[in-house]
Amino acid sequence: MRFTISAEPATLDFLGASDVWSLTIGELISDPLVVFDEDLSIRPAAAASWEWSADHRELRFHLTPGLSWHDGRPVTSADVVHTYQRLIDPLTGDATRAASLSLVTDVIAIDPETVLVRYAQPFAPALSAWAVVPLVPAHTDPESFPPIGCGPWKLARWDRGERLILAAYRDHPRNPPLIERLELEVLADYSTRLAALDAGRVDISGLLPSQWRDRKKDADFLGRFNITEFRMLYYWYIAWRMDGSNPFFADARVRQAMTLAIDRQAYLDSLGADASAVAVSSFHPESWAFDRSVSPWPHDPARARALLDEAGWKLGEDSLVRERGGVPLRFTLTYAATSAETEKIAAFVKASLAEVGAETELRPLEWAVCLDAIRRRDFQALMSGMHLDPDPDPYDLWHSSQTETGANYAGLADEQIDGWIEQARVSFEREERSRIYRLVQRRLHELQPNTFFFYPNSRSVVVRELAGVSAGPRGMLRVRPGPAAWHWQAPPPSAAR
Amino acid sequence: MARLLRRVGVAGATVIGVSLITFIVLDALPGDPLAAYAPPDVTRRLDDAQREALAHELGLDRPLLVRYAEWCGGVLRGDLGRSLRSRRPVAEELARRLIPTLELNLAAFALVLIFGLPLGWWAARRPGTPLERFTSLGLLALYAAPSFWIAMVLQHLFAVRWGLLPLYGRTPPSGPSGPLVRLAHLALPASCLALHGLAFYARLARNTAREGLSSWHALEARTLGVTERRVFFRHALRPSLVALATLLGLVLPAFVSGSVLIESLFGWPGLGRLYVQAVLSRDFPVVLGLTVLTGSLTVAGSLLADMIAGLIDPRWRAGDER
Repeated sequence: MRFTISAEPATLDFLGASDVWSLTIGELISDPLVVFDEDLSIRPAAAASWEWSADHRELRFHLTPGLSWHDGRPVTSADVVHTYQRLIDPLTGDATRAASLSLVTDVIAIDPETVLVRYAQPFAPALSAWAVVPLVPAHTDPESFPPIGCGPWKLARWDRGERLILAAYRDHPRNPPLIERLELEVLADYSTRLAALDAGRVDISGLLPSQWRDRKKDADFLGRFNITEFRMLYYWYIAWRMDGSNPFFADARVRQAMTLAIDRQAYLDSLGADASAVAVSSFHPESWAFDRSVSPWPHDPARARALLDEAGWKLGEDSLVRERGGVPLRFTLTYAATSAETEKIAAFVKASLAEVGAETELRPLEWAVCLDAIRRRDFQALMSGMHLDPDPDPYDLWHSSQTETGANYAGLADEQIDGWIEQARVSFEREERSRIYRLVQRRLHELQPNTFFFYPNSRSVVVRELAGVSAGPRGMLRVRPGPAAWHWQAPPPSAAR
Repeated sequence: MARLLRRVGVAGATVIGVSLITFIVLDALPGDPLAAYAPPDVTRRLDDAQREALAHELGLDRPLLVRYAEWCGGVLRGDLGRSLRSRRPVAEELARRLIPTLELNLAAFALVLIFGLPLGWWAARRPGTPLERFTSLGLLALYAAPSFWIAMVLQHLFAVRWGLLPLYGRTPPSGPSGPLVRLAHLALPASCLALHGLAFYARLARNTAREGLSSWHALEARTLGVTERRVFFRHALRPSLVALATLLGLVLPAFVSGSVLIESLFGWPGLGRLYVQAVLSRDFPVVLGLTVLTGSLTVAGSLLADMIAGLIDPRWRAGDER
């Protein structure tokens, strides 16, 4: 089974890196205590079950019986303690994942099958932080190669810069793979990927919207491949810096007008055949916390103009740009000029806003420079994409404490939202958390700190001979059972090549 | 000999200068220095104290000169530091990718020499004939064609349609990987790289050879009854080789800087992609290591070019003695 990946993992030290391919391959080779399933709910993995103490300061994990390392030794609570200690050690662990466990005060092995985690305070999203920490064995040298894990796949070969070959670990108690080998081919270029599909060299590969446009009527292509789509844990947005540092966006009416002026659906339609959807909020549409009763703001330039008039931004005679008290409605839109797509969206936004009398000066920046501008909050409006956590806790996105250091780039400071977010963080019942997040989504909708642009879609092509393929918001590999459930219903075409 | 030693000394100083300038420029570059470590969606979860701790951990908070001095000390011990992204030693990262890059570029260069020079010489002996004009036009077209386009056409024909050669990669995912299989993998990317260089070198060989053939010396030789064949070897071939040797100094660094586009299209695990990725993600130790590597080769290349030119053309040696 050959699957193309866009880059090689930075390292196979599962705890040391934070790039997406190191994390993905880490999760295939070694089980975390828990994993996310397709609707981002938490499911058992290395831990068969868990329970909170009555005061929610202690979390007790019971390890899955029969789970063993690839060298045959059993997985024990000592390994979990070792994993935690390696992660929080700045010399060996990835600081960002360690930060998400910063409320942990202690991890203790109660007996070989039971681990106790103590927290400084109750924290409802705490469990999800364990889903991105693949376990590492205490009995091997961390630098040893190949790395030993306890997941459904073991590393068979790593041809640096070319591919990783994973072999099925049939003794996995929960997800023994049905296919023998998973070959992850590093191939960055999309035209070569498509050629590789055509030549039968690979079995699964991603497809660009433009490539899909060219191929969707090709009967031969459709006869050979199935299409799998999923909505990524990601959304495009424009953050309107609303903290008073500019004269425009502190007023909710102006922000609403901006959203009303941009025809987001028309933009998506212009991409053609793309299944991306106009975004409503920062919550992922497939998450259990998503509020389906809120629909996106429509495209309504007339209403946008009326709101701007109401907010005091008036259009003078013979003028194309609105003014208020002699100040023109002219602002900069900062973005990282990383791809043709960002340039295209920026131009679209500029043209849309011009129609309601707002002038946008585009400020494209190189990637690392843009990151620095974001960190210093040096922008009036910011266009970017946001990776979402599988857990819906929006604390770093919308809590008022995060306006200068977190990801609350718009600078939203709303007492109600703060209160709800804090309340949800100590609500351990999912229904209750979900109810609170619905309130947050409605309030966000009304305040429009961001124009939520769209949720991008990812499309992959899968040979018809392969069955059992599914995908969730985290993709095709980072979901359980994921590749362990893939199986051949006819001989694989790539085997002949 | 003294001149050689002097030149080696200057070369060493140049490499140190290059490294210092690179260090200063990298330090002065705008941008988030933690960008290499993790994307902002990830580092956003770090508060200021955690960011500072991380910067300290990565050694980014110390004064520039201290870091440079430490880095130089490391280089003397063969330690180029660690990549911020992978946390692996830079020397190891470079070494792993250097071989494939050298392999690809040397193969391409060999193709250029084998086909390009004879083609140029052949053309030089038939100036103005329709066939020569047609060949020159063809070479010009080849030189102007974008290499990604050439690559895609070759991939489509040889790999997808006829299935004669591997589409991408340096080694096969399974089965034997002997020398023949390796060569097959090398064929398409090396040809793509070579086609571009071929046009350039063929034109260079043609022009220098033609100059030589129409020189006074050549004319004199002909009047003295020397055969056209000997005239060609003496007055056309040799000047082309000198010109080529001088160019070699310029070409050598390109052998390691790699070809980003070709490497990306053919999934070739070389240095080119590493370079781009390191610059974009501000992985300073890797950028620095690569710059010093290419800098050293540029300097070594020009030294080598001088020496080769001296071997081929006695006038260079005479200049040395003067």
